[in-house]
Amino acid sequence: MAELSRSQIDKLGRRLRRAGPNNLSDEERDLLERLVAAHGTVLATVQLRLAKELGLPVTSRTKTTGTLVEKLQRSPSMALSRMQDIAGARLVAEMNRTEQDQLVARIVELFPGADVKDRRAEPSHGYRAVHVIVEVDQRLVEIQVRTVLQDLWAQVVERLADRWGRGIRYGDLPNDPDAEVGGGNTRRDVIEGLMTQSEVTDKIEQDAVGMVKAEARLVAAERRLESAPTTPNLLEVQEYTAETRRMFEEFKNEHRALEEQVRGFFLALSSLE
Amino acid sequence: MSYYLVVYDRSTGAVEVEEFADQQRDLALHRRFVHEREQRNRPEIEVVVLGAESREALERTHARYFKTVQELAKSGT
Repeated sequence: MAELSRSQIDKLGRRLRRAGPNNLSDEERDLLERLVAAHGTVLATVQLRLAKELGLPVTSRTKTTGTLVEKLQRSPSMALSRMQDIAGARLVAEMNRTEQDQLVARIVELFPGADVKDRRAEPSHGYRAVHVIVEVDQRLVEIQVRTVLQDLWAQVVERLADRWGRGIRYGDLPNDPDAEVGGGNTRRDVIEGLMTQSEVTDKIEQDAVGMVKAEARLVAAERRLESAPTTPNLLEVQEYTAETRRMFEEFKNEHRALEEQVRGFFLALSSLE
Repeated sequence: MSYYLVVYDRSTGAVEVEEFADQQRDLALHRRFVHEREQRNRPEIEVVVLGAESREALERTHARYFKTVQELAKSGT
């Protein structure tokens, strides 16, 4: 079966947008299915390459008809031929900010010309991750690179959206926002809490890298002092190092308090009614 | 690589999963399209084909289909 041209794809996009997800004709479905199947072929190639080269589990999905048409309707100027996530792959790993950056850089090496969208710096209604958009055989594939915490946040919001309205993923209030959900909280409170947790998590992940480096430098300085007690200005250097240690411990305690805050939030959420 | 046809009911959280071998990707996708047409008047039903090395890997990266909010939240404590 011949592939659809770019203009045919964009024309189809306009038709789908007009029809809406629940009123597609058989012809519109036929054309969309051809397009999705073609993306699926490219996606399989990308997924295989990622898994082989990175040695990490990679999962993939082609966008469902409903979510694809809804996205067209949310984005009136979007050309279907340029929709970036008809085909999507996902990598989730326990990693710090630097490791996430390194993984993204490795993906860009594998797919030269890839476009990196850093949604940590510019989150979408609290959603944070790094998306790498690659083009293979003139088709776009979105590769989502998430830390475990970024993924947990996204999965919780998706799951809540199933119950409280899909709009919460795009900043809308939940259905029945003042409904109580336990612990004296409402649905609105939970969503606000999730927005805060997204920021806190981001800070934790950013600070973690600096903390490891700072502690390594501090320990090296303390060891140098111990092994060379005849250093000129010894007292001054000792005082400076001790003060740095004190400040570092303070920072570490603040970091632990933030981690505790995130755990506490999820603990409360785990007893949601 | 395996392919998983996931039929998920957003309103109840009920999920059905059918596994396909690597070479059956086209069949899995075809089944998805048939399901979507059959369920066209039920927007709460999501039909998706996911590719993964194993069911375990799939449940890790697409936990939303397999866990409640409470279960997901618990994994963050």
